[in-house]
Amino acid sequence: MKKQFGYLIAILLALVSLMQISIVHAQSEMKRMVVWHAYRGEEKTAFEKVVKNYNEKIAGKGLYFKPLAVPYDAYADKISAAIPRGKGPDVFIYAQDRLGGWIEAGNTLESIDFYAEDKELERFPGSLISAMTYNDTLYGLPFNFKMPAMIYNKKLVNSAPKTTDELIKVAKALTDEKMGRFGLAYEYSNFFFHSAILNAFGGKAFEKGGLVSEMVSKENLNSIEFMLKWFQQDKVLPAEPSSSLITSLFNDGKAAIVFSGPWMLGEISQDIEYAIAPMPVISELGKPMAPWMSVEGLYISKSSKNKEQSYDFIKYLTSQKVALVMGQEGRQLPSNIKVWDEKVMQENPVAMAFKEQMKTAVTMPNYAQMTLMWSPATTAMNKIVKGTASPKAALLEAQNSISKDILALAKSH
Amino acid sequence: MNFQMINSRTLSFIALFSMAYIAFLYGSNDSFIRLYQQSEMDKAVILSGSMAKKLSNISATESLQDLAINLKAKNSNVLDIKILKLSGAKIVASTHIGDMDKSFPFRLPKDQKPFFDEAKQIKAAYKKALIGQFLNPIISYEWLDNNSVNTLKVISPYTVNGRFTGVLQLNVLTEPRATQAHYFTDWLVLLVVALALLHLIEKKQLNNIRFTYFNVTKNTLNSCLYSVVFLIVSLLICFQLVQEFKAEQSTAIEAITALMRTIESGSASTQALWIDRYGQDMQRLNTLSQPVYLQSMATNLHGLMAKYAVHILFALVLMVFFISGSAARTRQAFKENRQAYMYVMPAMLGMLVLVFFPFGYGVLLSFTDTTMFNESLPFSERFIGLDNYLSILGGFNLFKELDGQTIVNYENFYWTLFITICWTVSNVVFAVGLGLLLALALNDSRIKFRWFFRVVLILPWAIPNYITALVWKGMFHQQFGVINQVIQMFGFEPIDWFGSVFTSFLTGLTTNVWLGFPFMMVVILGGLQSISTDMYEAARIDGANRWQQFKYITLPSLKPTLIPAIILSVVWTFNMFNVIYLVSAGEPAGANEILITQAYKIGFEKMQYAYAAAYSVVIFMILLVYGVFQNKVSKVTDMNS
Amino acid sequence: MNKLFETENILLIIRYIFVIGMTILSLYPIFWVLSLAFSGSQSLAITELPVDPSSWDRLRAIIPWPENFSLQNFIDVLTEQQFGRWLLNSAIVAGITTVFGVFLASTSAYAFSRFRFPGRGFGMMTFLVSQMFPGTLMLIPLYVIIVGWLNLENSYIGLVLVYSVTAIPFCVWMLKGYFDTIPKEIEESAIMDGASQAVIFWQIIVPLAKPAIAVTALFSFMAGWNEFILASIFMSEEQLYTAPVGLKFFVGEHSSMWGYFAAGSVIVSAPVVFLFLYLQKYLISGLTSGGVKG
Repeated sequence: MKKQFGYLIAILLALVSLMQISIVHAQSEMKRMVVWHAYRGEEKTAFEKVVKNYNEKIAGKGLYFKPLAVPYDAYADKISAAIPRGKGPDVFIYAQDRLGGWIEAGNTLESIDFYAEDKELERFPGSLISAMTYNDTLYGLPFNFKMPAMIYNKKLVNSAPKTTDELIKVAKALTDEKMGRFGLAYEYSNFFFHSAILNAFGGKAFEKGGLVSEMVSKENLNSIEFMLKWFQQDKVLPAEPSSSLITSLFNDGKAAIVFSGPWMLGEISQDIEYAIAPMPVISELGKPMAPWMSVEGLYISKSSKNKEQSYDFIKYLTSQKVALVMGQEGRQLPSNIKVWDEKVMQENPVAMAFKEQMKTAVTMPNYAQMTLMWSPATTAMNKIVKGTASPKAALLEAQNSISKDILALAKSH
Repeated sequence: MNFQMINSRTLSFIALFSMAYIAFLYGSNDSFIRLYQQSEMDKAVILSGSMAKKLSNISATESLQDLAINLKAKNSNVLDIKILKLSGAKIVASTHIGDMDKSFPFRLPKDQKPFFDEAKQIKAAYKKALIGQFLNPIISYEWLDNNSVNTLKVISPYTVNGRFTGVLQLNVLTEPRATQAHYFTDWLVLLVVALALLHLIEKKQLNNIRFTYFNVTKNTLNSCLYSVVFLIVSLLICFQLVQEFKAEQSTAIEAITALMRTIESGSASTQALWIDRYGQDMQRLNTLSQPVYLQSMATNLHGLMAKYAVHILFALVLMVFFISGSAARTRQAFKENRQAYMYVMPAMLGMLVLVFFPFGYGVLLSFTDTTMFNESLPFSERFIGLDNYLSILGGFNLFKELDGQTIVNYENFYWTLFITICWTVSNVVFAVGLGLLLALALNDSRIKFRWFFRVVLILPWAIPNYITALVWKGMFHQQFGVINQVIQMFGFEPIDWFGSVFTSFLTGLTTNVWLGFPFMMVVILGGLQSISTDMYEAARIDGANRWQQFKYITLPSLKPTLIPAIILSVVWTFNMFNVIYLVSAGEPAGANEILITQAYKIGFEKMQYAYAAAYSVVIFMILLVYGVFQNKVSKVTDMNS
Repeated sequence: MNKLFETENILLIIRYIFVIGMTILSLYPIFWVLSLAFSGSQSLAITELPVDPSSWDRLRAIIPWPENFSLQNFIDVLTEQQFGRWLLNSAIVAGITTVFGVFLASTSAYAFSRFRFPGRGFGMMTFLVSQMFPGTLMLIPLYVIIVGWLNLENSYIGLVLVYSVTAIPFCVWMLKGYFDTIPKEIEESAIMDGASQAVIFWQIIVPLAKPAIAVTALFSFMAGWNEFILASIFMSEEQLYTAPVGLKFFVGEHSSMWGYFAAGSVIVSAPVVFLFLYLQKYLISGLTSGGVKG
C-alpha cells in the first residue's frame, strides 16, 4: 500500500507540474482582458469568433480579450464573489434580472452613461435600453433578447392560432388526457411563463419601482382565473408542468403547442417539424399575450483595469457586423435593430417570429426586489393550481411575504 | 515562595499590561480619529448643503460662475468649487485653476468619469429620498489625502425649480487634528502603581491566608490577585480616555453649532438652510436641540467603551492563562506529547484556516443586519446584536390567519426544525438499516457474484446526484411518473405526490435513502473486516445463536466505525441541501423545507445575508448539542481496545 | 444438524432475494439515466398508452428502454467541449485529495487512537464540529482565503486544500475507530523488537487498517470528484475546469440538455466504479472461506 501510494504521488505531482507549466507558458506578454459568458455549443463558437475578430482589429494595442465560459448555475455566485474583491472579468454577459441586485450591492457594475453617446444607443430598441437602465443610469449595452413565444408541431397544427379562442379550439381537439396527449403545454405554474397572460391583463408584480408588492390586484386575479380556465375547464394542459416534461411531450408529439423560448430549440428532436409564431391575442380582451422579455446585457466590471477599452469592446459587440454573426451562427436574437433588415435574418422564420413577439413582449423589471418575488409567487401558483387555496388567498399570502421581505431590506438602510 | 516564580510572573504581568495598554491606545486612537473626521465631515456637509441651497434659489440672471467665485471668497477653507450639470455632463462653474480660463459650460473631460458617476448615484439617492424609502446618503464625502494636507471632497445635489439638476462639489480644507503625546509617562506611572500594589500584596504574605481560610490553590489565588490589580489599573486608564473623548466631543459640537450660527446670520430666509446627509432638513438653529445631536455622538462613545470592555476581557483571559500556570502546563504538555501533536497538527491547521475562519465570519455576520443593500457599510454601522437570533428563536407564530382561515405557518422556525428532525432521523435510520443488512449479506462468502452486487450497489453514490435526483422527481410525477403507473397497474388511484406534506416528504426521503445507503454499506463492509472469524467460532462453540452472535460480537465490533459514520451522516443529512431543493423543492407551500434550504432562501433569494448567517449558526448550535450529547452517550472518543 | 442446514438454506435464499431486490431498486433509476444517455435525444420518451391500458401495457411503460440506440450524446459530450481534459483535471484533483487527505487523516487518527494527550477529546470534537457549519454561506469567505490570501486561483492546490478539509473529518473518525480495534499488543511487541514509531505506523498499522483506508480513500475521492460550485468559482481558465463543472454547462436557466447531461454523468461515474472495483479487494480481506455468519 505504501509503495503504491508513493507511485501515485509521484505520478500525480509530475502531472500537476506539467500542467501548471503549460499554463504559465500560455501567458504571453500581451495584457489580457477577460470576458465571461455562459454560452455553449454554436452560441459559444460564434461568440469566440467575434472576440477573435475584435482582437485582430485592435492588434498592436498590446492587449487582447479572452472569453471564459462559466456554467449558468455558478455564474452569479462567481460574479458576486470575484468582482467586489478586485478579481474577475473586465466585461461580462448576463440577463437583466440580476442588474438591480448587483447595483444595490455595489462594487460590481460600472455605469456607462459617461461613455455612451446618444447616437450609439440609437441602434437599440428603447425597451432593451430600459432593461439596462437602473435609477436612470445606464449600466450596460443590450446584447440580445429572449422571450417565450408559441412553438407548434407542424404535423398536428396547420396554421398558428391567432386568438386564444382559436388556440383552445385547436388544443381541445388534440387533447386526450388518458392517452397523455395535450393540445397545449407550458409552465403555467411558473410565474415567469404566466407573465404572458398577466401582462396582457395589465397585471404587475410590483408598484412604485419595486418598492411595493402588488400581487393581489384585480388584474392579477383576472389573469389567474383566465389561466385556471384552460387548466380546469378546458383541460388542455398537463399536470405538474416542468421544462423537461414539456420537452418530452413536444418531442414525442404529445404536446401540439408549447409556449417556450429560443432556449428550447436545441432540445427539440430532429424528427419534429416545428414552427414558431407570436403568442395569440386574448379573445376576451382583444389584447395579445405579452410575455416577459429577458435581455442579455454586456456589462463592464468595476474591477476592470481598462474601462475605456472595455467599452470599446462592448460597443463593437453590439455593432451590426457582430450582430449578424451572433444572429446567424450563434442563433441569438441580436439587440442591434438594423441587423434585422439584413436578408439572412429576414429569411430566418424562427428569428423573425421571435422578433415579432418582441413587439408585444414586456421587458422584465430589473429591480433588486425581483428576487424576493419568485419563491412566494411559485408557492402561490402551485397552491392555486393544486386547488389548495383560492387565488386571492394564495396571492395575498405571497404579497404579505414579499412585503415583509422588502421591509426587511429597507430597514437595513 | 520561589523568587524565580514571582519574577517570571511579574515579567509576564508587565508584558501583558503593556500590551493591553497599547491595545487601548490603538483602539481608542481609532475612535478619536473617527470623532474628529465625523465632526469635520459634518461641518463640510453643512457648508456644502447651505451652498447648494443658495444655488437652488439663484435667479435666472445671476451667473453660476460668479456665485461660485463669491462663495469661495467668503469661505477661506474652501479650496475649490465645481458645479456639474448632469444633462450633457457639463461643468457650469468651477473655481479650479485649470478651468478658470475655459468658457462655461464645457463637457466634463473623460478622465473625470468618477465624478460623473458619483453625481449619477447622488441623483438616484435623491430620487429615493423623495419617495421616503431606501435612504441612501445624498451628500457624499471622501477624504483626499494630498501629502498630509487634509482635504475633504463633498458632493451635494442642487435643484432648479425643485428638480434635480446637478451637483456641487466642494474641496474643503479641514482643521488639523490636535495630537496627543503624553501617553508614555501615563503608562510608566500606571505600571509603577500596579507593581507597587502587587508588591504590597506579596509583602503582606496574603498568600498564607488562603491555606487556612480558603480551599483554593496558590495559582488560582495569584491569578485572582493579579487580575484584580490589572482591572483596577485598566479602569483607571479607561476613565481617563473616556473623559478626554467627551471633552473632544463637546468641542466638536460647539464648532458645528458655531458654524450653523454663522451661516444663519448671513441669511434672511426662514427656510432651513442646511440638510443632513440623507437630505432631511435639519432643524433651525433656534430650535436645534443639542441632545439629539449629542445622542448620535453618544453612539461613538458607546462604541469606544465597548471596545475597552472587549480589550479588558481579552487581556484578563490572557493574564489568567499565564499567571495561573496554564500556559506553562500547555507548554509542558506539548513537550511531553510532541509526537502526538505533530501527527495531528497538519490536518488541524487546514481545519482551522479553512473551516473556522469562514465560521467566525458567519458568526460575526449573524450579529449584524447585513443585506444586499448595506453590504458596503462599515461593520459598526451594521451591528445589531442578538436581534436576528431573537427573531428566529422567538418566533412562535406557528399558525397564521389568511383570508379567514387558520393555516400552519410553514416559514416558522420550529415547524422547519420539526421537519428537519423527522427528515434526519428517518433518513439515517433507513440508510444505516439498509446499509447494515446489505453489508452483512454481502460479507457472506456463500453469496455468489458478491463483487458484482457490491459494485452495482454503490452506483447510486457514484453517479452525480443532480441527474438521479431529477430522475426520481420525474418518477414521482402525477401523470407520467413511473410510480403512479405502478400504482395504477395494481388498480389503485394515482397519488399526487407533491400535493400533501407527508407524501412530499416521502419523495425526498426515498431519494435520499437511495442516494445514502451505499455509503453506509461501504463503511460497514470496512468495519466488518476488523472482526476476526475466531470470535464467531468461539461463540458458536459456546452455543450462541445467530441473534446473540450479532448482538454480542458484530454490533460491538462495528461500533467504533459505525458510530462516527452515524454521527457524521446525521450532520450531513441535517444539512442536505441538494435533494430537497431538486426533488420536492419544499412542496407543498414550503412545508417540506428543512433548515438549510430555508437559510439558503433567506440568504440568496431574500438577500438577508445576516439573517441567513444567524440561521446557520442556529443550525450549528443544534448539531453541536447533538454531537456532544451523542459523544457522551457512545463514548467514541474515549474508546480503545 | 439437518434441520439447521435447512434453515441456513432458507436464510441464504432470503438473503439472495434481498440483495437482488435492492440491486434492482438501485439500478432502476440508473437505467433511466442510461436510457436517456443512449437515446441520442435530449428528452425521455414517454411510452404511448392505449385508451384502456392493461397491466402489461403499464409495465411496458415503466421499463426504461430507449426507442433507438445512439451514441450521439456521448460523442457530442466528448467532442463539443474539452471534456477529456476536464476529466483529467478531476482525476488529478480528486487523486491528490485522496492521497493527501488519507495521509493526513491516518496520521491524526493514529495519534488520537494511540496517544493520550491533553486536548485529545477536544481535537476529535473539533474535526466533528467542522462539519456542522452549513457550507452554503462559506462561499465568499472561502473565496477570500483561497483566492485573496493564498492566491490559489486557477490552481489545483486550492481545490485540493478545500476538498481535503471536507474529507478529513470523516476519515479521521473512521480511521480512529478502526485503529482502536487493532490490538495494542502487536505494537508493543514491535517496540520490544526495537522498531521505530514510523516503522510501526507504516509497516504494521497501515497494512492492518487496509479496509478502513480503502473506505476513506473512496470517500475522499468522491469529495473531490463530484464537487461543482467551488471548482467553478476558483477556476477561471476553461482548461482547468473539472468534469462536474463541464457537466453543468448543459443546465441552463430555462432549459437543459438532459441527454448530454445523462451521457456526461455516465462517463463521470465510470472512474468511480473502477476505483471501487480496485478498492473492494480490501473490503473482503481478512475473511476466510467458510465465512463469517452475521
